[in-house]
Amino acid sequence: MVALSAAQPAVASEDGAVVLPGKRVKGKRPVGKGAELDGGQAVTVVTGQELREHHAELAEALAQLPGAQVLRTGGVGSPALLSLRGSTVEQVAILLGDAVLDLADGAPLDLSDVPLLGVDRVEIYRGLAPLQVGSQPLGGTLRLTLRRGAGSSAQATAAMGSYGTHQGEVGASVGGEWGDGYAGLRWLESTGNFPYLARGGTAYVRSDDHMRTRANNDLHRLGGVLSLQGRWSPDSAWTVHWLGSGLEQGAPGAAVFPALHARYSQNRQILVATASRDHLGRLDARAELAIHAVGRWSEVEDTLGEMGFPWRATQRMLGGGAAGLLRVPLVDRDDRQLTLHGRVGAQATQIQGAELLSHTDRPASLRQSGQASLGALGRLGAWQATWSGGGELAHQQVTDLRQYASSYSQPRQDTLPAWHTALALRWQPQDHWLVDAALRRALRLPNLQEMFGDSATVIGNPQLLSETASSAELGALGKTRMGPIAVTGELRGHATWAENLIQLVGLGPHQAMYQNVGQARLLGAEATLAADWNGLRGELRHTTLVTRDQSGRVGYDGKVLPMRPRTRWGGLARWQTDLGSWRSSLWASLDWQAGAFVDAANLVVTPARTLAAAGIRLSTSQPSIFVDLRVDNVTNAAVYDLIGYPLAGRTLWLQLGWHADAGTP
Amino acid sequence: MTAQNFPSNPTQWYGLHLRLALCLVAAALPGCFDDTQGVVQASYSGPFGVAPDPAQGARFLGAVGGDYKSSVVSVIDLASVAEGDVQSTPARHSAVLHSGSQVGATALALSGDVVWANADLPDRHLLAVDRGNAALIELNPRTGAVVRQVSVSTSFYSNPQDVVVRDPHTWLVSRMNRNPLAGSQVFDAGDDVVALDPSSGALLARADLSQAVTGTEAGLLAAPQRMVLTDRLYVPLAMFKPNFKGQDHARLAVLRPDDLQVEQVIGLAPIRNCVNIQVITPGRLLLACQGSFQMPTEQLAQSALVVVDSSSATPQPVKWIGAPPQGGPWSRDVAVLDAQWVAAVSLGSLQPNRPDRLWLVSLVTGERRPVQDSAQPFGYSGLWADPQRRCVWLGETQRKDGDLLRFLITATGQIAVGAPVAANPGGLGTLELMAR
Repeated sequence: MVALSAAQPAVASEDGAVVLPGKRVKGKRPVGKGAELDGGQAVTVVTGQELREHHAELAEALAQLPGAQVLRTGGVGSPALLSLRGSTVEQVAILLGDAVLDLADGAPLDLSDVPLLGVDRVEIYRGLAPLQVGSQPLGGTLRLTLRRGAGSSAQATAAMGSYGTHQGEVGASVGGEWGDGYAGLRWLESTGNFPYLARGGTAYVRSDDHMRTRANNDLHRLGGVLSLQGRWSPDSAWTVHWLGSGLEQGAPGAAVFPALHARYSQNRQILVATASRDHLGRLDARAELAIHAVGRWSEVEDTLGEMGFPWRATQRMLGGGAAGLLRVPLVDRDDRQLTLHGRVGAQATQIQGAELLSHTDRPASLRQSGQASLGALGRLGAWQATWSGGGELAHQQVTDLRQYASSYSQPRQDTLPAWHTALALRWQPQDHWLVDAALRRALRLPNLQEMFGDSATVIGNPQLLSETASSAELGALGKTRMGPIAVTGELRGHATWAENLIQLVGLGPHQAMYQNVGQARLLGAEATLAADWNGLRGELRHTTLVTRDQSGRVGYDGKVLPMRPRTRWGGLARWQTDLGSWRSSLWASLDWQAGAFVDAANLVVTPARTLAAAGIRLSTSQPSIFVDLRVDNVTNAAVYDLIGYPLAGRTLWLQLGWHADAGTP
Repeated sequence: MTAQNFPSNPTQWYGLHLRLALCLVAAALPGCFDDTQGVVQASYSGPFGVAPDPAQGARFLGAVGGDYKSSVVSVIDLASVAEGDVQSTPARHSAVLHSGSQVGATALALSGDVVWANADLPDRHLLAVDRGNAALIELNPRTGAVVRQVSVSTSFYSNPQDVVVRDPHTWLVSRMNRNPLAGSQVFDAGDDVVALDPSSGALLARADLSQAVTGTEAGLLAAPQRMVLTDRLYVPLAMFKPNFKGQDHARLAVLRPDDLQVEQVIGLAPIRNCVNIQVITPGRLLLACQGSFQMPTEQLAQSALVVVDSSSATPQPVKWIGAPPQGGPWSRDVAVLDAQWVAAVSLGSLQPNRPDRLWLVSLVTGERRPVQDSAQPFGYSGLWADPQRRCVWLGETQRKDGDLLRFLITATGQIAVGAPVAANPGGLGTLELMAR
């Protein structure tokens, strides 16, 4: 495992050690691509270069990973939410750089907010979280690292695709004695007017079926990233990251009665600043301070009442927090190491909503939370052990009761304590294979939306308790060479018993309330096999997820958890070759997903689906330009994640890119 | 069932489990048996007022189960059920139709919001109102087959509530929602009662109830609910504000069934939110009014069972039976036993914890006698009285030994609790009952 330097890139030496600025950390490099954080096990790293070369969107890239699932309600650019190992989207922790984002407002990170040009790498930690997270989320952790400045360079891409989709991205790096930085902007628009088979509300009548165009499904995104880093001294560094996104889109509603005028907009700004210092004191410790601020504003507008009744609601969220991390290498020898991690964090988030048609201000709700955790990472010969444990304390309250008239949510001021712990072992007798195992207790505090977020159809529940889960996992990684073919593989199994799961329980035809009703068991396996030979690469991915509702509730107990396909297979073949001064990359992928129940009662099934995609990329190095042409959903299969929200059929995507490098100053 | 609550955290669930465990222990002790498990002390005279004759009674009991995300229809065959039999297990056809019966990307076969229509169809067919899909589904209870499906959406979420049969070629449908983009086709404005040709699906006529309700706040929805058709069509109006954040006093619209002309709109102030109507006897109607859920502190006072004298040319409400203070507001579930007595359910609450309660209510004296409490608040849903077999059926969701409770009304007026029946074992509990 490698240590993280926030200031300069780590360089892998020939002997497998990783050289950091001013520090040499010895240790065996993990099989496959290494994660940057300490203590995670089931890690998949997708570099920014891979993303840009082989994917049109971050959501599409992550959807292919084992153990990951992305839920969508539309085409390119539409909101995309990540689930890991059968988790809900709220059960995935989000890191931007080294800062854990406190999204206590209940609005998860939209993967479509992330511009590809501004991404340095994405790390997906399934299950066990790294020590730097300071907690154990139930599903896993997504870490997004923004692109670093690298000398003076500039990039630009322009793309167009089916259903009126256009995208432009620009980015530039600058460097100097002060440090370096990268700034990028992304603009995307899409009409989203793909065809689908409309059946009205009459599944038993075929005579009224007809093809229809998805209307009011347009979207417009404008976002950007900024990444600055520098050093105050050889031992101290700083970074500033900004991820901003604005979205304005139609709210087409369920296809059975599409809304033609309803709109939705959201603006979210995330700012993270970190400072770090190495070689502190005699213990040679490293200290990091990460401060983050998140602001979000959203508006739903259905003034005509196309989706039920007229309403226009806004929500404002402002939050921020600070976390300090101390990393102390108590023992640092060639054959043994022991490092302690201590983390203390505090956050506060406030949300407030208003209904503009009735001029009703909803109460503001406030959460103040803090957590402390301690972790240790030890290495002895081929063995590595990681332990972490900690507690969280959250205090939430409604701060303005003047207009508060819900008959259901009795406001309460309360403090929710919760704890987590994890123990992980890794045995790596040789460089090319390892085995690891982990036990952990994970948790998630209810967010403000779940506790106080009364809306037109959803009622908050201030009495909610934290979700908890106990889980175990076992994994093995290996790589070998079979003649000219390099083969890598990973196999993992995991089991989770979750309690107090927070679910929306229907109270009436148009009302639902968050309740702690769920207990569930989730068993899964993930496998990846990849082979490389002379420019040809093949990948085979598999995910199995067996879930059972164990809530004891009539109608649900013993059923499969909704929207968790039992099996997924994915395959990729890619051939890269040089054609004179051009380099070409030809690829094709196939993803198969088993049918899944949409509802907790296991009555409604989304059928199994197969999605094929193919593309070609031509690029030159001098000048550095590229052309991408890809076709998604080649067979034009009718697919959907949620009933009522058809996804796009066959989609063409053409992208032109340009990169200019003025050299490193 | 509207605005239902369930225990909001495990502590309350544990509390329920503890209570159940204590009940089981108490049941093992002589003299400690819960009286609602045996003969209930409440009694009345003149049960049902008809000579029991199962052969003349309903043959099929349709149960709609659901959780407002999915729905499931099951049918109980009452052919083997004799008078007074609340112990045998009748034949059951579970989940003959459900939300996933037909796979579709754009709509469920049955939405999560399905109720039974008060429609008397030939051959004992049942008619489901799929409010979420704005469609009507005629079901053959013998085979479970869908005989007919008709959309009443006119391209918008019209939210149909009920259907009555005017003649074999005309159904009258109440539609609660208003179309914000009306005008693209005929009779597409909503908030109305429309006449429908079920064979073609064509709308034949429309009564605009928004226009009929005069003298009220501008923009109010009349919001027609369940209906009764005698010589005239009686339609309770829930009178919602356009954003559904409030309700005006309830009304009862009286229409001529032939041409759907509104003859009269009867004000029912201070009562609000009347959602069910039934015939007590020829010339007398019963309205079940819940009170406004948007006005929780005043809901109890706004809730009542209202008796309407419809025997004259100008129908008038003649009696109000308020909701029991120790119970809660009346739910929509009422079942007429005879000219004097009805069964009705009062709604429970979570805060304070109060279960639903089944009552016998005298329409003559206004007396309200408690019969049985639900295991948890908002547990009861779906009520049907079977005069020919002298029993009352009551749906209770989240009940593990069967979601259909049965109560026997003995010849002496005593009430005994029968063995529950599971309409859909292991599946979603019953929310709606209708017998044909």
